[in-house]
Amino acid sequence: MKPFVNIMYFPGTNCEQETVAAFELAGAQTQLVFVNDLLSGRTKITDCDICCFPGGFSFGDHIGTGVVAATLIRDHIPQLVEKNIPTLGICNGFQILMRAGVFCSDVTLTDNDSGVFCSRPVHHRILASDCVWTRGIEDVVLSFPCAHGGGKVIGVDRPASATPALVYEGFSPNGGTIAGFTANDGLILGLMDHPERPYGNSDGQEIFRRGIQHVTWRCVS
Amino acid sequence: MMRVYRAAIHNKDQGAEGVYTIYNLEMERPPDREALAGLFCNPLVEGVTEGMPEGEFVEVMYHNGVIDPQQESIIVACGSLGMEVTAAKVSRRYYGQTRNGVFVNKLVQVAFTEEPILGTLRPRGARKGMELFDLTALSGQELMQLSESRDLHLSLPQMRELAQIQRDERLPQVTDVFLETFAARWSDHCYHTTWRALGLFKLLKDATTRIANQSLVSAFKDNAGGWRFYDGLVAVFKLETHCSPSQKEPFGGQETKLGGVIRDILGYGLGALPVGNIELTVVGEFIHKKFSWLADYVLPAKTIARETIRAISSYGNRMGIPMLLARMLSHPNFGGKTFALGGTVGITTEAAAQKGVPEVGDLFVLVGGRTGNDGLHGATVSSGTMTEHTDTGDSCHVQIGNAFTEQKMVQATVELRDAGCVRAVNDFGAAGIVSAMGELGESVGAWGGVLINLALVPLKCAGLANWQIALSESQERMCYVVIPGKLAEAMAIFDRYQLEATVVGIATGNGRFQMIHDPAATKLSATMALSGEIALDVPYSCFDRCPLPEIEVIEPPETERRTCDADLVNNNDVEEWGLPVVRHFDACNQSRATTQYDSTVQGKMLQGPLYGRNYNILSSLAVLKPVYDKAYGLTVSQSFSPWQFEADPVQAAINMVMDAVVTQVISGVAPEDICLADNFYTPSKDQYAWWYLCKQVRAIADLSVELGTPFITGKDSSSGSSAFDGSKLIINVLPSVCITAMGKIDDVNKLLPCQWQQPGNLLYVVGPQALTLNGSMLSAQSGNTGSWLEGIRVSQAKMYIQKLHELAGSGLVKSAVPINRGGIFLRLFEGIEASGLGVNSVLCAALFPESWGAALVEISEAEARHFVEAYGGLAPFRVGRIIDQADTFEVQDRKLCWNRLYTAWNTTFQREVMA
Repeated sequence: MKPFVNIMYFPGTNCEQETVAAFELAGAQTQLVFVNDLLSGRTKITDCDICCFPGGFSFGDHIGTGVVAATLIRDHIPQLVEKNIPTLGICNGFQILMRAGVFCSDVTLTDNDSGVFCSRPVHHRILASDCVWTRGIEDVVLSFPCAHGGGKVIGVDRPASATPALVYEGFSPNGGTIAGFTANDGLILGLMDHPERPYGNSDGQEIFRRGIQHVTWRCVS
Repeated sequence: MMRVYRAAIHNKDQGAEGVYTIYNLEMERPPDREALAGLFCNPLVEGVTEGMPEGEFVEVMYHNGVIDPQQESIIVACGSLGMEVTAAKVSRRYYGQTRNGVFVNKLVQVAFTEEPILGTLRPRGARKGMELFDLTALSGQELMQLSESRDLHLSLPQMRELAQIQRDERLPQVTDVFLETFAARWSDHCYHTTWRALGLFKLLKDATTRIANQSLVSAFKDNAGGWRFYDGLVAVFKLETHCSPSQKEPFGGQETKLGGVIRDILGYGLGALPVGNIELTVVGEFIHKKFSWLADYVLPAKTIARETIRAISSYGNRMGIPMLLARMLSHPNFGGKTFALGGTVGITTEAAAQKGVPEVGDLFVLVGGRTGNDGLHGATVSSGTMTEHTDTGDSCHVQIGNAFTEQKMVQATVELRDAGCVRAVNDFGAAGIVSAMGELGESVGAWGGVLINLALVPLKCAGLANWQIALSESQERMCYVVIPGKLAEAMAIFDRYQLEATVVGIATGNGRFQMIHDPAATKLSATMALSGEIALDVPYSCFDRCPLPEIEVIEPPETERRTCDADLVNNNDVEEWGLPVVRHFDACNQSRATTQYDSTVQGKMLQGPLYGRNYNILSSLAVLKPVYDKAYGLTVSQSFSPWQFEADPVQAAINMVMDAVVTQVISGVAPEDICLADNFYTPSKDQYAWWYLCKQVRAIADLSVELGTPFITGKDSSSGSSAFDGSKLIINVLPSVCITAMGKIDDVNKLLPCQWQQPGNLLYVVGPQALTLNGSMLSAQSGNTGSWLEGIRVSQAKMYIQKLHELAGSGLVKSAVPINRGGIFLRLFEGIEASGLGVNSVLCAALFPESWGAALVEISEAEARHFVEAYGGLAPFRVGRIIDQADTFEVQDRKLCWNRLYTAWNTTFQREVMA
């Protein structure tokens, strides 16, 4: 039985299809869940083995990146944590989770140092952490592209309830060093860049596969 | 009682004299300040401002007539926190130095320099009534005065024909809607009057018909061209210019350029999914030398360039459509009116690749953004010359883009298509309802016929007259012709994507284009009597009565044949010659702009706008894999150089076609799998422009037939002249055409790389080789671009391209790039920078001529002899050898200073645009 992934999307989200493709290539079955279906109760955020918040410009970045989406789903996030559902936030999905308070309040994401959007290939070194999405590939350098304008992590060096999971190796598109955080005992990973791009990127697939393997192993055990 | 409450947000690390974002919320009860702070502040970096600083400021916000694009999201977010907001506007307040350079678009924005008193944020105002005219009573002079006073850009014969239509239809008077509708329908933009009068439209279409390429699905009849792909899919592409708006208000103009061409793809057939964008902008000189007086009249080229980058990044990234190719060029003749070209490619199914025929009773549903006064007369302005007054008053054609709305329409369009809800779809571009719904109405049944009730159109501005509602070019709107039995399903899809959708018209089949304004007529029927204000009621056949202008085609007098020779005699001077090439704006490192465009979204891009170890070399060929689990490739190349057109507009057109096709073929795409798009830019005030245009169109049509690569889409802009100081000063763009090629290949693994592969391999040039510097960037620096161009003869093109295709598939070529701007020298420079290898060139003077249509290929030494013998017909000549030394550029064993060249190449864009 393939693990079931809920891919949440909002008005303005534009990376949901590429994320579906990446998860399916990695061996999962997927379902796109529109935020209204969540808010109306038609779908529960926990009706899945894995939850993913893909990239894009939810609500057009109005008010601020991820702000409106975070406001809408903030009350649903504790259910993911409570049920120990591995969760992945990519780019805007990471920003949504950050604004929803998943990674504690003493870190945040802000504009790139350059002040502009940056789209280019980037290298990431995986740090040793308890993250289920990167377990077993510690110290490995993975290449997948960045595409963001507000991805610089700022705040305290050692946040209370989040751990850096990957850092930039070489060029940083936003001026910061941290490329992603993990939280909730390693079940949640938020990263600014796009492991789903391009389709079939073997480096990016490492992350999707590990998340899927985690729930597969958990189901079996 | 409703009140406007304000919450100001500041960045914590800014001083008092900074920029403040102010959220203006119209609410019945005071907001929860703490909740607002949580919503609007990123608490680690931002704070709520308690009391605004003293001092002079400028605060900019949309005026009451325009709904802020962020309003919808603010209402949703506040609603989720239990705060009911009825209207919202976001303003920005600038103190101190930050006030400098603040741009206020007065058509839609208001600037406060004192504390604003905001009674309401909602649109207010009274609707203006229709104006009536008796054209039959007006003299020729009065008819022209009417045309000019309303910015109709209609000629006297056209105005007289309208008077005749009034007589024939026995109308006592005609309305302003009547005048504006005909002005739009008969504009150069919609009716292609110039091209029709010159017989050019037919010429190009006939060439495509003659080619009879099996991959052709649709050419010149839909919003875009359709090209058969694989597995029952159709690739779609379209490019369009948006020059006038982009010159006057570059951010809005460039945003809506992209938004418009994306909608062309959405509106193709029954709807297509956009999978890639193309961007080309040609600005004027950064320091006005040729036209030194121009600085008094136009925005600086730097501003246009920066705003272009900001707009394309802002809009394109939000849309989630990857950037395929992007380039910016500079030429003095584009200083009066920039060449703003945007393109989009898409994918749809064969079943949805043709528009259906609307049936009587089908419903015309207006979807997306609301209608306002942003963008009027875009179609008619295309018929005229831009002046320094073009953007004043109601005739303004500045538009406001809102990618958020359009992005939702992408998702909805595909879903509607697949649900079988729509019979046809069209996008709103120039001339608004008149164009989008008028065109769809024309295809109803045997005779055409549609009735539109303008009173049902949702408005974002108060007080719009009927003609403004009918003509408005407000962005992010589409018209779907929905099958009546499927209306509920279609509305559910629109609702799901939070798109406002309203039935505003019905297919009547009565042969007439009818528009009324009747708020009571909410239920439309195909046979209903016209009620309320009758704004328009004319047979469609009237629109075919446009008198075409008599255009005098004047051949330019023979002039002295000027040549710019490549009289470089030894390798001592190569570096000095090379410096102006690499630092030329057209050739320099533009990655600071290009990396601002998301080129990887959708996960389908194999090769985007940049490549190389430092990701900073502009690609000639973009490669997409539009189907995730298939190796099928969609390839796009584009060719344009103003310097070529300055030297010889006709041969330049041929060279552009050759370059665009060669770029594809030398990479491995079969010639018969390539189709073309033309985007002409012609200066109407240049007395010889029509001669050049006719010659150009014939030349590229003949060449397309010879090559078997048809033109399937295109656009002609004949408004490339700008007049200033009461028309005493005129700038004409060069008579020019940009050629874009789209190809397909069944396996992307067959494509050759553009990056050098192996030290020790040899580099050869194949194809037509130029001997002079005519039309080159280097000649531009000398001030003599020559008066003629070298290039391949049309009659030789087919044989050459076929041989080139054979070579690309031979296995001999390890990497390949076309030789175009900057000649071999620039290709070698880029090869070094991209690969991290070096080169030793045996050539010297031959490095600099620009051989458009030739290619640089990498061949292993072991196979070089066989290559030269087998492909002697391609006139191969050796350029040099790739060497295993990073950043090394040797010419006849003399080493050039790489750092000097690199610095020149790397700093131009920074200096001219970003600094």
